[in-house]
Amino acid sequence: MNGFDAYQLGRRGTTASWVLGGAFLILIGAFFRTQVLQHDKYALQAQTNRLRAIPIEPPRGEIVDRNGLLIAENAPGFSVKLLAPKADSLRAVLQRLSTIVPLDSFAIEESLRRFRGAPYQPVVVLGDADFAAVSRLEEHRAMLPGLIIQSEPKRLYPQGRAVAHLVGYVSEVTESDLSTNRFPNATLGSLVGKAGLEREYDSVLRGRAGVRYAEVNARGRLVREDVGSASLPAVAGRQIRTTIDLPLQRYIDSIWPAGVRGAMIAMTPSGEIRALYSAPTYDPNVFVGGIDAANWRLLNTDSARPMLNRAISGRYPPASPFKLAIGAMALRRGLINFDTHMPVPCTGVYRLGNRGFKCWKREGHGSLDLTGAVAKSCDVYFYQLGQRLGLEAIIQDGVLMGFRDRTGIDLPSELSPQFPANLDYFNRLYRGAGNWSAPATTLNFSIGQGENDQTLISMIQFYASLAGNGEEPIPYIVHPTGATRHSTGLSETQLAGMRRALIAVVEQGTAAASRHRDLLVAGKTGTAQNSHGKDHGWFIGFAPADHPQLVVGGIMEFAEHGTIVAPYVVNVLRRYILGPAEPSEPQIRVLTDEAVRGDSAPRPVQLPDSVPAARPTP
Amino acid sequence: MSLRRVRHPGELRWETRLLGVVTLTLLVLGLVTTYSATNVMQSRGHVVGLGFALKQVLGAMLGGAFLLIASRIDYYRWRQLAWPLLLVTVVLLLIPILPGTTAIAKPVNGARRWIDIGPINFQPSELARLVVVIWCAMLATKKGGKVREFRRGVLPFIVVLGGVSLLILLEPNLSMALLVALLGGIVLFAAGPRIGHFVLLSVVGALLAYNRIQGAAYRMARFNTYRNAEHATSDALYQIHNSLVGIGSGRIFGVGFGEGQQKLGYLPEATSDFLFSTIGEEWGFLGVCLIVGLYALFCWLGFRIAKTASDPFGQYLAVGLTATVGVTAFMHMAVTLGMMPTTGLTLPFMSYGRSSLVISLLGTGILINIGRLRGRLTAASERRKAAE
Repeated sequence: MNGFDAYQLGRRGTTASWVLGGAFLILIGAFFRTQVLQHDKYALQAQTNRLRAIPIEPPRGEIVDRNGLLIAENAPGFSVKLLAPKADSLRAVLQRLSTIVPLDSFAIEESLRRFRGAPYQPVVVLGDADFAAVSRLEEHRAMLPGLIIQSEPKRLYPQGRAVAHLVGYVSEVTESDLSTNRFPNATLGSLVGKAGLEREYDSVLRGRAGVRYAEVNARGRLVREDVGSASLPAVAGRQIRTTIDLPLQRYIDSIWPAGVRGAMIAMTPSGEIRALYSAPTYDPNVFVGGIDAANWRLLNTDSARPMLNRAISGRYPPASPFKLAIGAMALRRGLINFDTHMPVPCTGVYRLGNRGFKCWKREGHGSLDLTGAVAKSCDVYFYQLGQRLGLEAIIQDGVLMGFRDRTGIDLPSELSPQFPANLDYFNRLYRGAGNWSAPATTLNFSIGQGENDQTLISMIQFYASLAGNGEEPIPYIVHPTGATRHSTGLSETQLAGMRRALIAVVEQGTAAASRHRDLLVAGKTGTAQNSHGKDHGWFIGFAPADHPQLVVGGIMEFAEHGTIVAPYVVNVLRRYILGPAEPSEPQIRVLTDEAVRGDSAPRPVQLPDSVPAARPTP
Repeated sequence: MSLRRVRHPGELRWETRLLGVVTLTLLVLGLVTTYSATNVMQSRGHVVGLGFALKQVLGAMLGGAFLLIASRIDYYRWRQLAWPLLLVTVVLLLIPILPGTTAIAKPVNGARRWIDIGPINFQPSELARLVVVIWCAMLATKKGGKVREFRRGVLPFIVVLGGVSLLILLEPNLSMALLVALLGGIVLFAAGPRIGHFVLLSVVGALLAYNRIQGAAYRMARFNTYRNAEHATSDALYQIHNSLVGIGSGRIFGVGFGEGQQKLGYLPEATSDFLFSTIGEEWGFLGVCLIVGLYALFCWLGFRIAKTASDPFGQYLAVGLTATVGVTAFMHMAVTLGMMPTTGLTLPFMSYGRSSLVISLLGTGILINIGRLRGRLTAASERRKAAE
């Protein structure tokens, strides 16, 4: 025999049978898992093999002003998309398409890039095509396989530039937006709000995209454009009603001097924003259907920064309007009352040690009480008031009054003001207690200069509290958001005194030239020293002074003085309270060419020509 | 001492008959599936379905004839023919590799695996699969107890198996080369060498195979698809992914015969290398169980025949022939599930491909013959007795 027995074969055969049996059992198990347990997943993928989802953009919710006037609406439009099996065939179709409608090589590359990112989705070629282009494309449909033309609602801002910083704009969601989940439920290709109210209330406005299905064959070629089954209608976004007064907003845009940068806000004492304007502005309609590269570059490289919302994101030294805050601090601490005179009368300069701190008026104001000092904006009075308070108290009370916090307005890009939290801030800033002078800093803070930069909305909030009951309202356009409430801590009589002082500013003080017989306006001018160029001008006022309905504040960069701004603010107040009947245009001219002798301004009162024009407004 | 049991010939009939029934069932199901999978296939705008199915029917008829003939030829003849067959196979394998033979061995998909002479068009490596089993069974029988030695027992196997595998590898056709080596190894295993030798060989073989896998970029892509499915590029994943999508959408009862979507161009090689994916999609889990069960039954019957074969050559041959069907089927199925690298092996009896079909049927014919001759006083056993 061969030394190998059948029993050995038998044993090995049994082993082999077991191995084989086990192997087939494992196989059966694996098939069970794939076919029964994971069926849903694969069945879905089988569907996606055959069907391509084409998103249907929902109409975005309208934005209306408090009377129902349209700030943002939808207009009928067309989008041109392509469904392609491969990048090569997409490129070929795009080349052919570019002979029919204008399409530059950059747009072609962009479409290809999008395709590589999401090959199963139709690529948007033209986000906003006009009827003529669509007609031409339909004519040549035979040579454009995979062409999908959809009628889609397009965003339209009838007031365009006047409301840009208020409403913001919409644009396609980016991949980084999606990865950070900034826009819940958004998918590639969704239009989302990128700034302003569009951004803040995106979840309300956007609605939910619907979907319909197109059938493709194995090579990804479009077979049937509309597969009736399993399509999901789009859900329209909801309308939002704002507190905005659109005619007032347009009025501000119409009177704003061309080429001047700055911002203006109109707000009721309870915090309802009636108008919010920033200049230079831009046309939010250019973003609809995808902004082209040239426009985008222009908006982003312009040195005037038209995309910056100066009303809530621009920080300026608060200057003289801050003197009211200093006065309020001294009043609430009981250090003075409205009749208190300071020990040193104003001679145009205030001596501190061997340094002299000037008042804006070289000849001096003489001895003034608080009301007079506010009316004349006397620096020397407030130097001494600041010294009486002390820097620590100024910072403490400033923080309490909210000069360090965002107001909480329901707009996305509000910056918090810059205001020290405590004295340590200066030690850190100047690297040691010995490197800065507390008395000099105190004097600077007393007149709203120094390490203190406020946004316009923050100052408006403070003045609203003076116009109201001393509580600082949270500004809002649709809903107030939960921010900490601040209070000036003044009594009713003290508030009334403050308002009298502010009336005096307009009646006989620095803004006397803006005075009108038919409307009593209270307000405060300001000239913010600007190390980069000409000073910025402030004016914040409210009217009617005895029963305030509206607080309006404006800042104009390089305007040199608040008296330049005052007439604009006053006209806005008049327009809102007295109605549009009042002719406004000549009013401003009268105010600007007559030297405002009550205030400093030895310079000729005119708007500087040297201000770099952002974009000449027609 | 030769057989564990000697039974009356009549007792043993059911195994060979059942084997025939199983084979016929698989064959018919395969033809039906090929028809259903190809009747919608288009080539240059024309529906090619019926042509494919007819070609496959021709292959089945030819293979059926081979099966009938082989089941009636004393399998002992194959032992005598082992060396000549091996030589012929080696020559046929050399043809596609040699330069200047592109006229009769055109490259298809970058590999030259087919010989094409007029009406005859076949894959020599399919023949090698059968011949290697016959040759190994022959040599193992001849070596007898010496297979337990290394130099005189195992080494000759390594030399020849290695040589044949290398030739197939050069086509290039890695999966077939591995399969041939594996089948030879299984026959050798049945002959009972030391387990130590066997383990050592397996390790060496695996290392060599890995080295070769790294050598070819497309194999690497396929291999990586398997090893690391999430990070593979979508191109490499495409086939496996669509195979799984097909199988997964089948659920328990399948989407229905002929209703499969994946064969409509989504799944490449839906009728050959990925036929089982089509079956899974159209017939569902029940169909899968049925087919797997049929192959398991085939193997069980084959091993029964091997155990009760009347001489060692028959035993080894039966083991090898059974393993050829079982292992190939298993690997094919595992590939469609993504459990193994995509290899390009057909499903025996079922996949489109006439070389594979004819060879598989021929092998089954031999297996049936081994079964038929058990317990009978045949010419073979007489000769064997005479030799002793």
